Amino acid sequence: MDKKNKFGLPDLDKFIQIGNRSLLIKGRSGTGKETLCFELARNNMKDYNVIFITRNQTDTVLYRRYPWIKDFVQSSNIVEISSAESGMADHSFVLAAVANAVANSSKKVTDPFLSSEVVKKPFIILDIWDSVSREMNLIDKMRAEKLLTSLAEKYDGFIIFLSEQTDTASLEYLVDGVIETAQQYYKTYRIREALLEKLKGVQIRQPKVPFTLQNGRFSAFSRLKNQKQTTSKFVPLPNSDSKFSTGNADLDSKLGGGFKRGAVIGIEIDRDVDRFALVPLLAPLTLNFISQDNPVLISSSADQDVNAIVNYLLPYVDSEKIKNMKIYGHGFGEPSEYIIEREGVDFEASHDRWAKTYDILKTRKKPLLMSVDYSFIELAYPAQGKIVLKAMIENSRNTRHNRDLMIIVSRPGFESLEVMKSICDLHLRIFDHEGTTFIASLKPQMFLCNMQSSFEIGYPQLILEDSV
Amino acid sequence: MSSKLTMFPYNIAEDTARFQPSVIDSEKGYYDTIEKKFITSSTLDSLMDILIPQKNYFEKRDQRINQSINRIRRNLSVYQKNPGDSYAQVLLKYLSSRFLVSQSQNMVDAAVLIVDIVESTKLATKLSPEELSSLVRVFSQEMSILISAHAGFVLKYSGDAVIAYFPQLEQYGDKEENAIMCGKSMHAIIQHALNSAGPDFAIPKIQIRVSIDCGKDRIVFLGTEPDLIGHTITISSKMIRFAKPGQMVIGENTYINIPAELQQGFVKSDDKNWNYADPETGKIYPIYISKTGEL
Repeated sequence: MDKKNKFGLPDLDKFIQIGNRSLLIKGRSGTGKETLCFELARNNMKDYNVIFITRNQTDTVLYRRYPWIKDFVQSSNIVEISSAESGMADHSFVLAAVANAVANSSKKVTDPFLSSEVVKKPFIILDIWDSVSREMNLIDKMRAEKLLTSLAEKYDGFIIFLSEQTDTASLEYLVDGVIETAQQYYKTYRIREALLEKLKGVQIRQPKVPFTLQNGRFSAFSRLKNQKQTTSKFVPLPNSDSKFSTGNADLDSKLGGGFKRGAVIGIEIDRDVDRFALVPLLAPLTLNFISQDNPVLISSSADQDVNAIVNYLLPYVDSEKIKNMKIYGHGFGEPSEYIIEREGVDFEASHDRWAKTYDILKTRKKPLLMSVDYSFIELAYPAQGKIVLKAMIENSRNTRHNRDLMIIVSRPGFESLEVMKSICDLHLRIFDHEGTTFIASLKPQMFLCNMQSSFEIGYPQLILEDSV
Repeated sequence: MSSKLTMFPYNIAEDTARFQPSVIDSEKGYYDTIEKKFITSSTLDSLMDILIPQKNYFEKRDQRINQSINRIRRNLSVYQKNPGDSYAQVLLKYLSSRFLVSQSQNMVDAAVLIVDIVESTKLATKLSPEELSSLVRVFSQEMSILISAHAGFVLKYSGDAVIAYFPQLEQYGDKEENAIMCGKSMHAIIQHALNSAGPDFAIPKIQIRVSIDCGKDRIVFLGTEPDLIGHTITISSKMIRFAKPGQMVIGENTYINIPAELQQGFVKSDDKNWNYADPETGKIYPIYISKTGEL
C-alpha cells in the first residue's frame, strides 16, 4: 500500500470541485478541524489561492505545526487579526478586515494588454469566527454570516468556517456543507471521526469516517480490502535471538522487533469482523516461518478447505519448504501431504494426533509456529469443552518450554477467550468501527491501529496506521 | 471613470452588476465580477483611451505604432507563462456583446470586416504550437484594438481570422469609411509593428488580407453570446480569397458609399472566378480590389 499521505475523503473533494462555496467544520478543540482544512486546501491548490484568517497564529507558528502547508499557504496570505489591536468585540472591524484580505488577494489588472496569468480563486479559511460571533446578537450574527458567504460567491471562491461552538444552527442553514470532527476513546486509545452531515450535490456514501492525524496529516481510514496484484516470492524478515519477526515490517516496528520467542499470542476477533481480516496478520507470519525452513502447525476451522490455505501460500514460497507445514482440518476428500484429517475423530484422539505431529515437526529442533482458532474447536467439540481448554493450556506450556510461538484465536462468547486472556503474553483485539477494521494491543497496551492489507510488494502484508 | 467615456457602449461603469466600484489597497477602481479581477480607475481610463474610436488611420510614424510594438514585445516575451486572454480583449468582447444586446430590432446595419493571416497553414508547419498560438494571440489583440479605435466591434475570433462589424454610429462617422480606414491601419500595424517586433522572437513576417462589405445582418444568440448571421457576413467571407497578400477587397455596397478619394484607391475586379450573383439583381455582384501601394 502507498504509505504516502492519503486524504481519503473523495466525497469532500468532489463537493468543492462541483462549485460549492462554503463549508462549516465544527468540533471541539483538538479534533482535527484545522488539519482537515489544510488538507482540503492542499488538494485544491491548483485552482485556489489559500487565505488563512486567524486570531492569534503567526506564520511561524503555523509553519512549525504544519510544515507541509508552506507550498500553498503563502506567508502573506496568513492574516492575523489580533484581539489586542482590533478589539474582537468590534465585529465590523473584523468583517472589514476579512473582506479586505479576500479583495486584496483578487487579481489586479496591471497591464490590460498583457496575456493574463491563470487567476486563482480565493480559498478562505476563517479561524476567527467563534471569537467574533460570540459578541454578536442573533440578527447581526446572521447578517455577518450571510455577508461572509456572499464574499465567496462574489470572488468565485470557497470559504470554510471553523467553529468550536455547539450552536451553529444559523450558519449550518446558510453554508453548502457541514462536517463535524469528533473523537471517542477505546481503553486508553483515541478514535477520531469525521461526520459528513451535509454536502450539497454529493451523495454521502460513508457519513462517518474514522481518521487519524498521524504525522500531523489528516488521513481517513479506509475499509479493509484484499486486492491481489503481482505475485513474487516472500522475502523473509530475520528473527532475532529473542524475537520472531511477524513477517510484517509495520507490526515488527510496533512490537519492538516481533513476537517474543516462547510467547503465546492471543488474538480476539469480534463476531462482526470478517475472519479474513486475520489473513494479512497471519499469512506473513506463516510465510516468514516457512521461508526460513521452520515448521508450522495450523488448526483450521471446520468449514475451511485446507487446500485453499495451501493454495493461497504456495505462490510465495518454495514448494520444498512448505512441506514443513501441516494443517489440521478437513480436506474435503482430497488427499494432501499437508493435511491431518480430523473428520470423524473425537477431540481426545485428534489431540493425540496433533501432539504426535508436533513431535515430528520438532525433530529438527527448529522453532515452530502453532496457530489454533479455539472458538472453532469449541464449536466442533461442544461436549468436550473442558478438554479443549486443557489442550490449549498444554500447547501453550509446550510452546513456552520449547521457545516456539503459539497463536490462539478466539471470539467473544467462547470459554476459550477468557482462558486465552489469562494465559497469553500479548492480547490483540481485532474489531470493526464504522466499517473500518482496527487492531488494538490490549495486554500490554501499546497501540491502536487501522488495518489494511497490501500486495504492493508481491505478497500479503499488513499495513498499520496509528489512530492518533 | 473618465468623462469622455460617456458614449454607449463605452460607459461601462453604468453596468454596476458587472463592474462594482471598489477600493482595494487605497486605490479606487472597479471589481469585474465576471472576470474576478480588479482594475483601478486610472488603468481603465488609459485602456479606454486606446480603445475608444478615433478617426484617423495609422501611419508609419504614428506613435500608436510604437505603442503596438511595445505591446507585441511584452506579449511575445510572456506567452509561455500567461496563456489567458488580455483584459483588453475580454473588455472588447464585452463591448461588442453589450452593443448587440442593446439593439431592439435584432438587426444591425453595419460594415463587416474580415481580416486573416495569409498562408497560415504554411506557418503552422514552420512554428511550434506555442509560437503559432502566440503569433495568433498578438495578431488578434492588435487587430481588435484597431477595430475598436475605428468605431468597430470584434464579433469573433476564428483561428487566424478576426471578424468585426462597424455599425452606423452617429458620433463616429460613416461605417464604410471607418471599416476601410481600419483595414488600412491593420496593414500598417502588421507591416511596421508585428513584422518589426516578431523576428526578435523567432516569429516570421506575415501578410494579411482584408475583406469588407456592408448591409443588414440579423443578431442571433448562439448560447449566451450574441452573434450575427446574414448576407453581408457570408459575402465578406467569400470575397476574402480574391484579395492578394497585403490587399483589401470591398463589395459594391461599400464602394458606392465611400468618398471619391477613397474610391480611387480601388479597382473593379475582373476575376472570372468571382461568380457570386446578387440575390436582388441576379447579376454578378461587383467587388473592388485595393490598388498596389494604396495600403
